Amino acid sequence: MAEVATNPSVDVTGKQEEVTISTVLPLEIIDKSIGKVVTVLLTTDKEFTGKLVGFDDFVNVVLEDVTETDSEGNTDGPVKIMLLNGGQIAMISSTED
Amino acid sequence: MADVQPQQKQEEPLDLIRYQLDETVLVKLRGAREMKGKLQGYDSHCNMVLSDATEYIYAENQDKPQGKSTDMVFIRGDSVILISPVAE
Amino acid sequence: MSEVSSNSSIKTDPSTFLSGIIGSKVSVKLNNGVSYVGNLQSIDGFMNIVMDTTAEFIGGAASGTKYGDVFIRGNNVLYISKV
Repeated sequence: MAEVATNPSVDVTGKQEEVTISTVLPLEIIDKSIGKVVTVLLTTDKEFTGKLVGFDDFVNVVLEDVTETDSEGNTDGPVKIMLLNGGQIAMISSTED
Repeated sequence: MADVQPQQKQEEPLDLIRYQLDETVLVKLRGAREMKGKLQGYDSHCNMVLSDATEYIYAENQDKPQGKSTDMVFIRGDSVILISPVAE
Repeated sequence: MSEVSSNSSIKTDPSTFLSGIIGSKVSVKLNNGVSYVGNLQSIDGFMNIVMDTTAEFIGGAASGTKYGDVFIRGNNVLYISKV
Protein backbone atom coordinates (compact mmCIF):
# COMPACT_ATOMS: atom_id res chain seq x y z
CA MET A 1 0.00 0.00 0.00
CA ALA A 2 2.42 2.60 1.26
CA GLU A 3 4.98 1.80 -1.37
CA VAL A 4 5.54 4.95 -3.41
CA ALA A 5 7.44 3.20 -6.24
CA THR A 6 10.34 5.57 -6.70
CA ASN A 7 12.30 3.23 -8.86
CA PRO A 8 14.65 5.40 -10.97
CA SER A 9 14.59 2.91 -13.83
CA VAL A 10 10.88 3.36 -14.49
CA ASP A 11 11.02 7.15 -14.43
CA VAL A 12 11.93 7.16 -18.11
CA THR A 13 8.20 6.75 -18.91
CA GLY A 14 8.85 3.32 -20.35
CA LYS A 15 9.01 4.48 -23.98
CA GLN A 16 11.93 2.58 -25.39
CA GLU A 17 10.39 2.48 -28.87
CA GLU A 18 11.03 6.16 -29.55
CA VAL A 19 13.79 5.23 -31.97
CA THR A 20 10.98 4.02 -34.30
CA ILE A 21 11.85 0.38 -34.31
CA SER A 22 9.79 -1.09 -37.10
CA THR A 23 10.41 -4.65 -36.00
CA VAL A 24 7.35 -6.53 -34.92
CA LEU A 25 8.02 -8.86 -32.06
CA PRO A 26 6.71 -12.41 -32.54
CA LEU A 27 4.87 -12.32 -29.26
CA GLU A 28 3.10 -9.11 -30.35
CA ILE A 29 1.60 -11.03 -33.25
CA ILE A 30 0.33 -13.64 -30.86
CA ASP A 31 -0.99 -10.94 -28.56
CA LYS A 32 -2.98 -9.48 -31.43
CA SER A 33 -4.62 -12.87 -31.94
CA ILE A 34 -6.03 -12.95 -28.43
CA GLY A 35 -9.77 -13.36 -28.58
CA LYS A 36 -9.60 -14.80 -32.07
CA VAL A 37 -9.74 -18.35 -33.30
CA VAL A 38 -6.27 -19.70 -33.94
CA THR A 39 -4.79 -22.92 -35.17
CA VAL A 40 -1.81 -24.17 -33.23
CA LEU A 41 0.38 -26.56 -35.14
CA LEU A 42 2.59 -28.88 -33.13
CA THR A 43 5.89 -30.47 -34.00
CA THR A 44 4.10 -33.81 -33.67
CA ASP A 45 1.84 -33.20 -36.71
CA LYS A 46 -1.14 -32.54 -34.51
CA GLU A 47 -3.08 -29.31 -34.47
CA PHE A 48 -5.39 -27.56 -32.07
CA THR A 49 -7.98 -25.01 -33.16
CA GLY A 50 -9.71 -22.78 -30.66
CA LYS A 51 -10.10 -19.28 -29.32
CA LEU A 52 -6.85 -17.91 -27.96
CA VAL A 53 -7.36 -16.49 -24.50
CA GLY A 54 -3.81 -16.14 -23.30
CA PHE A 55 -0.18 -17.14 -23.50
CA ASP A 56 3.09 -16.64 -21.67
CA ASP A 57 6.73 -16.08 -22.60
CA PHE A 58 7.25 -19.80 -23.19
CA VAL A 59 4.30 -19.73 -25.61
CA ASN A 60 2.29 -22.00 -23.41
CA VAL A 61 -1.17 -21.18 -24.68
CA VAL A 62 -4.65 -21.10 -23.16
CA LEU A 63 -7.37 -22.01 -25.66
CA GLU A 64 -11.15 -22.15 -25.44
CA ASP A 65 -13.55 -24.48 -27.30
CA VAL A 66 -10.73 -26.48 -28.75
CA THR A 67 -10.75 -29.15 -31.42
CA GLU A 68 -7.77 -31.42 -31.70
CA THR A 69 -6.89 -32.83 -35.12
CA ASP A 70 -4.26 -35.48 -35.68
CA SER A 71 -2.22 -36.10 -38.80
CA GLU A 72 -4.87 -38.45 -40.21
CA GLY A 73 -7.62 -35.88 -39.83
CA ASN A 74 -9.31 -37.49 -36.85
CA THR A 75 -10.74 -34.88 -34.55
CA ASP A 76 -11.24 -34.87 -30.82
CA GLY A 77 -13.13 -32.47 -28.65
CA PRO A 78 -14.42 -29.89 -28.28
CA VAL A 79 -12.63 -29.19 -25.03
CA LYS A 80 -14.01 -26.17 -23.18
CA ILE A 81 -10.74 -24.70 -21.97
CA MET A 82 -7.19 -25.99 -21.95
CA LEU A 83 -3.61 -25.04 -21.34
CA LEU A 84 -1.48 -26.29 -24.19
CA ASN A 85 2.16 -26.93 -23.41
CA GLY A 86 4.42 -24.64 -25.44
CA GLY A 87 7.08 -27.30 -25.59
CA GLN A 88 5.80 -28.84 -28.79
CA ILE A 89 4.24 -25.83 -30.48
CA ALA A 90 5.64 -25.17 -33.93
CA MET A 91 3.33 -22.47 -35.27
CA ILE A 92 0.30 -20.41 -34.34
CA SER A 93 -1.84 -18.89 -37.03
CA SER A 94 -4.95 -16.81 -36.77
CA THR A 95 -7.80 -18.21 -38.84
CA GLU A 96 -9.77 -14.94 -38.85
CA ASP A 97 -8.53 -11.36 -39.33
CA MET B 1 7.43 -6.06 4.80
CA ALA B 2 6.30 -9.00 6.85
CA ASP B 3 4.00 -10.57 4.30
CA VAL B 4 4.67 -9.44 0.77
CA GLN B 5 2.05 -11.80 -0.62
CA PRO B 6 -0.38 -14.15 0.98
CA GLN B 7 1.94 -16.94 -0.15
CA GLN B 8 0.01 -19.84 1.26
CA LYS B 9 3.02 -22.17 0.98
CA GLN B 10 1.78 -23.87 -2.13
CA GLU B 11 3.21 -27.36 -2.37
CA GLU B 12 5.02 -28.07 -5.57
CA PRO B 13 4.64 -31.38 -7.37
CA LEU B 14 8.16 -32.44 -6.45
CA ASP B 15 7.41 -31.88 -2.77
CA LEU B 16 4.81 -34.58 -3.12
CA ILE B 17 7.37 -37.11 -4.29
CA ARG B 18 9.23 -36.51 -1.08
CA TYR B 19 6.40 -38.15 0.84
CA GLN B 20 7.08 -41.33 -1.11
CA LEU B 21 10.67 -41.64 0.09
CA ASP B 22 11.24 -45.07 1.61
CA GLU B 23 7.87 -46.18 0.24
CA THR B 24 7.18 -48.44 -2.70
CA VAL B 25 6.45 -46.56 -5.89
CA LEU B 26 5.50 -47.47 -9.40
CA VAL B 27 7.36 -45.50 -12.04
CA LYS B 28 5.99 -45.55 -15.54
CA LEU B 29 8.75 -45.14 -18.10
CA ARG B 30 9.03 -44.52 -21.80
CA GLY B 31 9.17 -47.55 -24.01
CA ALA B 32 6.31 -49.47 -22.31
CA ARG B 33 8.30 -50.13 -19.18
CA GLU B 34 7.46 -49.82 -15.53
CA MET B 35 9.64 -50.06 -12.47
CA LYS B 36 8.38 -50.84 -9.01
CA GLY B 37 10.60 -50.42 -5.97
CA LYS B 38 11.38 -48.62 -2.77
CA LEU B 39 12.23 -44.99 -3.41
CA GLN B 40 15.67 -44.23 -2.00
CA GLY B 41 16.19 -40.86 -3.59
CA TYR B 42 15.34 -38.52 -6.43
CA ASP B 43 16.20 -35.10 -7.76
CA SER B 44 14.50 -32.32 -9.68
CA HIS B 45 15.08 -34.07 -13.01
CA CYS B 46 13.26 -37.09 -11.61
CA ASN B 47 16.45 -39.08 -11.66
CA MET B 48 15.71 -41.68 -9.06
CA VAL B 49 17.16 -44.59 -7.18
CA LEU B 50 14.96 -47.55 -6.29
CA SER B 51 15.87 -50.53 -4.15
CA ASP B 52 14.40 -54.03 -4.36
CA ALA B 53 13.13 -53.03 -7.75
CA THR B 54 11.28 -55.00 -10.37
CA GLU B 55 11.16 -53.85 -13.95
CA TYR B 56 8.15 -54.77 -16.04
CA ILE B 57 8.53 -54.76 -19.78
CA TYR B 58 5.34 -54.85 -21.81
CA ALA B 59 5.67 -56.51 -25.16
CA GLU B 60 3.03 -56.20 -27.82
CA ASN B 61 2.67 -59.92 -28.40
CA GLN B 62 2.22 -60.97 -24.78
CA ASP B 63 -0.33 -60.04 -22.16
CA LYS B 64 1.79 -60.43 -19.08
CA PRO B 65 4.84 -58.22 -18.73
CA GLN B 66 8.21 -59.76 -18.31
CA GLY B 67 9.65 -59.03 -14.85
CA LYS B 68 13.28 -58.36 -13.99
CA SER B 69 14.47 -57.90 -10.42
CA THR B 70 17.32 -55.69 -9.31
CA ASP B 71 18.63 -54.86 -5.84
CA MET B 72 19.30 -51.25 -6.60
CA VAL B 73 18.63 -49.29 -9.75
CA PHE B 74 19.19 -45.78 -11.02
CA ILE B 75 16.54 -44.33 -13.36
CA ARG B 76 17.41 -41.38 -15.52
CA GLY B 77 14.77 -38.69 -15.16
CA ASP B 78 14.19 -38.05 -18.82
CA SER B 79 12.56 -41.42 -19.32
CA VAL B 80 10.09 -40.96 -16.46
CA ILE B 81 6.44 -40.49 -17.41
CA LEU B 82 4.74 -40.80 -14.05
CA ILE B 83 5.32 -41.78 -10.47
CA SER B 84 2.67 -43.23 -8.21
CA PRO B 85 2.72 -44.79 -4.76
CA VAL B 86 1.62 -48.41 -4.58
CA ALA B 87 -0.19 -49.86 -1.62
CA GLU B 88 1.66 -52.82 -0.22
CA MET C 1 4.93 -5.95 -16.46
CA SER C 2 2.85 -3.34 -18.23
CA GLU C 3 3.97 -3.43 -21.85
CA VAL C 4 1.45 -5.81 -23.34
CA SER C 5 -2.05 -5.17 -22.16
CA SER C 6 -4.07 -4.59 -25.29
CA ASN C 7 -6.62 -7.34 -24.77
CA SER C 8 -6.36 -7.57 -21.02
CA SER C 9 -10.09 -7.71 -20.42
CA ILE C 10 -10.52 -11.16 -21.91
CA LYS C 11 -7.06 -12.50 -21.22
CA THR C 12 -6.38 -15.60 -19.16
CA ASP C 13 -2.69 -16.25 -19.17
CA PRO C 14 -1.37 -19.70 -18.29
CA SER C 15 -0.58 -18.86 -14.68
CA THR C 16 -4.06 -17.42 -14.10
CA PHE C 17 -5.58 -20.47 -15.69
CA LEU C 18 -3.54 -22.82 -13.55
CA SER C 19 -4.25 -21.12 -10.26
CA GLY C 20 -7.93 -21.18 -11.19
CA ILE C 21 -8.09 -24.92 -11.77
CA ILE C 22 -6.13 -26.16 -8.78
CA GLY C 23 -8.37 -28.46 -6.81
CA SER C 24 -10.73 -29.12 -9.70
CA LYS C 25 -11.18 -32.15 -11.88
CA VAL C 26 -8.87 -31.97 -14.85
CA SER C 27 -7.81 -34.03 -17.79
CA VAL C 28 -4.13 -34.19 -18.63
CA LYS C 29 -3.18 -35.49 -22.03
CA LEU C 30 0.35 -36.69 -22.61
CA ASN C 31 2.36 -36.69 -25.81
CA ASN C 32 2.00 -40.45 -26.10
CA GLY C 33 -1.79 -40.07 -26.38
CA VAL C 34 -2.61 -41.33 -22.90
CA SER C 35 -4.87 -39.12 -20.76
CA TYR C 36 -5.25 -38.92 -17.01
CA VAL C 37 -8.39 -37.59 -15.37
CA GLY C 38 -8.30 -36.65 -11.71
CA ASN C 39 -8.24 -33.89 -9.14
CA LEU C 40 -5.41 -31.45 -9.69
CA GLN C 41 -3.44 -31.11 -6.48
CA SER C 42 -0.47 -29.16 -7.66
CA ILE C 43 1.43 -28.01 -10.73
CA ASP C 44 4.70 -26.16 -11.29
CA GLY C 45 6.39 -24.17 -14.03
CA PHE C 46 7.68 -27.30 -15.75
CA MET C 47 4.10 -28.55 -15.88
CA ASN C 48 5.03 -31.29 -13.47
CA ILE C 49 1.64 -32.29 -12.10
CA VAL C 50 0.27 -34.09 -9.08
CA MET C 51 -3.26 -35.43 -9.22
CA ASP C 52 -5.31 -37.67 -6.96
CA THR C 53 -8.12 -40.14 -7.66
CA THR C 54 -6.78 -40.48 -11.17
CA ALA C 55 -8.04 -42.71 -13.95
CA GLU C 56 -6.07 -43.57 -17.04
CA PHE C 57 -7.57 -43.32 -20.53
CA ILE C 58 -5.92 -44.83 -23.57
CA GLY C 59 -7.36 -43.78 -26.92
CA GLY C 60 -10.34 -42.20 -25.20
CA ALA C 61 -11.35 -45.39 -23.36
CA ALA C 62 -10.70 -46.05 -19.69
CA SER C 63 -7.81 -48.48 -19.38
CA GLY C 64 -8.99 -49.61 -15.97
CA THR C 65 -5.83 -48.40 -14.30
CA LYS C 66 -6.46 -46.11 -11.35
CA TYR C 67 -3.97 -44.22 -9.26
CA GLY C 68 -4.54 -42.75 -5.81
CA ASP C 69 -1.89 -40.12 -6.18
CA VAL C 70 0.12 -39.62 -9.29
CA PHE C 71 3.03 -37.41 -10.24
CA ILE C 72 3.39 -36.69 -13.96
CA ARG C 73 6.67 -35.35 -15.28
CA GLY C 74 6.01 -32.10 -17.11
CA ASN C 75 7.87 -32.86 -20.32
CA ASN C 76 5.28 -35.50 -21.20
CA VAL C 77 2.34 -33.13 -20.84
CA LEU C 78 0.64 -32.08 -24.07
CA TYR C 79 -2.25 -30.21 -22.49
CA ILE C 80 -4.24 -29.83 -19.34
CA SER C 81 -7.94 -29.04 -19.47
CA LYS C 82 -10.73 -28.56 -16.99
CA VAL C 83 -13.46 -31.18 -17.21
